[in-house]
Amino acid sequence: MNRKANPVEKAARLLDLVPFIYTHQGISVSDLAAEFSIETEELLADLNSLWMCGETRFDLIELEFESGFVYIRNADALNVVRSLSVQEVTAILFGLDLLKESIFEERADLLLDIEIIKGIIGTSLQRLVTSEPMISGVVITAIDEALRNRQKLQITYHSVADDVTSERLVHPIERRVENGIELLIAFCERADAVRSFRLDRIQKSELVQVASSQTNRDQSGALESVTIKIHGDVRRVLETLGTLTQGGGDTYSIDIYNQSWLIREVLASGGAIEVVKPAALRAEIERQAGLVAAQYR
Amino acid sequence: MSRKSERLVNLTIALLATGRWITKSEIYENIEGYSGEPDAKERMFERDKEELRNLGIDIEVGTFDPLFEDEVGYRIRPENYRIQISELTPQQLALISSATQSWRGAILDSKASAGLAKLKALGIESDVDGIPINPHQVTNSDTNLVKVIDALASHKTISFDYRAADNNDENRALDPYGVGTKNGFWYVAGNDLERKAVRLFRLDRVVSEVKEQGRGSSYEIPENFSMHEQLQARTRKHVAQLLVRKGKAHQLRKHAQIDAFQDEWDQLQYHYSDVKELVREILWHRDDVKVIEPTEVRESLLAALSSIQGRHE
Repeated sequence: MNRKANPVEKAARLLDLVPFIYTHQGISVSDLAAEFSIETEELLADLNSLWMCGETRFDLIELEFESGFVYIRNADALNVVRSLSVQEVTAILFGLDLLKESIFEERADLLLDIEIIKGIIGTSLQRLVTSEPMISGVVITAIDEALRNRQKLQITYHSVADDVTSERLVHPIERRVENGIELLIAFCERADAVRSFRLDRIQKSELVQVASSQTNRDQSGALESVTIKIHGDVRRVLETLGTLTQGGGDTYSIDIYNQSWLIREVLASGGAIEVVKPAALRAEIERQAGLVAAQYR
Repeated sequence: MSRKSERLVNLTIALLATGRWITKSEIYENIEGYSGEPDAKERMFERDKEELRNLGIDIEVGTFDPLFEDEVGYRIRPENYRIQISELTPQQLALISSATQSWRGAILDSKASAGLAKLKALGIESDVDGIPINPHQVTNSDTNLVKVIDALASHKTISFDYRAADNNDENRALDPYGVGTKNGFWYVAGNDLERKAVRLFRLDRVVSEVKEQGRGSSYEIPENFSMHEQLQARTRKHVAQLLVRKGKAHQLRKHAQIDAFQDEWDQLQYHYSDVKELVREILWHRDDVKVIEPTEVRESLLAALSSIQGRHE
C-alpha cells in the first residue's frame, strides 16, 4: 500500500501529525513514519509542509527535526485530536470483529473490552458493518505458533471431495493465499508428501510438543483435462469450478486433480454441467446418477 | 511539494482558531494560495470546503448581522472537530492496535493506521504484552470496498455493473446501507433503486468500478437496518426427513438433528429454506443421502437426476 497520498489525504495526515507529535515530543523520524505507515521521505516532506503552515504567515508552526528527532511548538490551534472518520471507525470495527475470533475462551476480559471499545468508537456504525471470518482464529494462532517454533501440528481436516474428516500429523511449511483461498502448506505424515490444506477446512489444530523436521518435497498429483458444457446457472458453475478455459463452441476445459470432486459438482448442478470428455468420466457420472436414482425405486 | 495540502491545513487553522465568524475576503487575504481572478478564488474556496467536509471536518456557515445576510462568515467549532473519546485503557488501546494490524497490506491499511495514530495522540499508553493474539489477516485488496465505504460515509448513491445469475452483467444503482464480510466474501447491502427493495451484493461479483452518483446525504438508512442480520442465512423454515449414511455428509449435519438410527443410516431432521438448494446439497453427497419426505423434494431430485442421465447418455 505504498501509494502516494493525494493532497487531501496529505492534508488530513498533516492535521493528525500535530497532536501526535505534541504527545510524543522527541520521537524519532523513523518511528513517526512507522506510526503513520509511510516512508521516511514522505514524512520529511510532510514535516517540511507543516513548517509552512500557521495562523498567519508571520506566525508559523515551529518544528525541529534536523537532529532526526521531532519536536513541535506554536501549533496550539491544531493541537486537537480530530474525530475518527467513518472509514477509520469501519476499519477498526472490522479488525475488532476478526480479533474476537482469535481470542481464547479464558480471556473473557478481552472480549468484554472489545464490546466496550465498539460502544465508545462506533455507536452509530456498529449496525452497518459486520465481519464473520470463515476461519477460526484459534486454529490460526496454533498454526502460526507451529510455524514459528517449527513444531508439529495435529489437525482435524475435512476433506470435502471425499466427505471424510481425518486426523493428521503435519509439519507446517508456510501459510499462503492462492486465488483468495488461505492455505497451509505442510508435510503430511500420513500421505508421506507435501500437501496443501485449506484453512477453512481445518476444524481443529493442536501443537504437538516435538520439534518438526521440515522436509521440502514437491507437491505431486496428476492433472487431468476435462471438457465440459454449461447448460444453465452459469455464474454459479463458473464460480464453483474456478479456472476454466474457453474451448471451441460452447465448451470449456478444466484441469482437475480429483475426479471425485468434479463428479459431486456435476451431480449437484442437476444437469447444468455436462461432461463431454473423457468418455469414461461421462459414463461414470451417468452410472452414479443411476445409483442415486435407484435408491428411490 | 503540494501547495494545496498546505492551503487546506492553513484554512483549517484559521477557521478553528477564530472565536468568531470569518469572511471570505479575510480568508483570501490571510491564507496563502488563494490567487487569481475572483471567480477562480471562489471556485478554489468552494472546492476546499467540500474536501474538508469529506474529511469529516464540519464547517459552519453563519452571518454577522441578520439584516445583512450577504456578508457570510465561516468557522469550525473545536467541539465538533475534536475526538469525543478520552477514556481508553492501555489494554483497550492494545486491542485496537491489534485490530488495525489485521489490515496490514490490505485495502483499509492506511485508514486503520490513521485511526490508531489519532487514538495514540491522546497520549494513552498501549499494553501490547497483555494480549498474546495473532490477528487474522484481511486479504482484501478490492478498491471497490473503499468506494463503498466512502459512499456509505457520505450517504451517496452508487452504481456498478453486477454479474447476474445468468452470468450477464447488469447495471445496478444502490443506496448503500452497510458492508460486511462472511465466509471469506465481502458484501454491500442497500436499497436497490430499480427493484425498490433492500438487496445484498457480493463485491467480487461487481465487475466494474463502483461510481458515486450525485451529492451526499441523499438518503436515510432505516433505523432497524442491521448488516449482521442481512448476512445471516435465510431462515430455514422447512423441514425434510433425510437418511444419511453414518460418518458421512458432515456439512448437512450442521443444520440437522439426528432422530433415529438404523443399521448404516442416521435419520436426520434437516432444516432448509429452498427446495432447489436442498436438492443441490443432497445430490452433492451422491448416494450417501436419501430423501424420505417431503415429496416435493423427492420429485425435484428425481427430475434433476434424469436431466443428468439424459445429458450423459
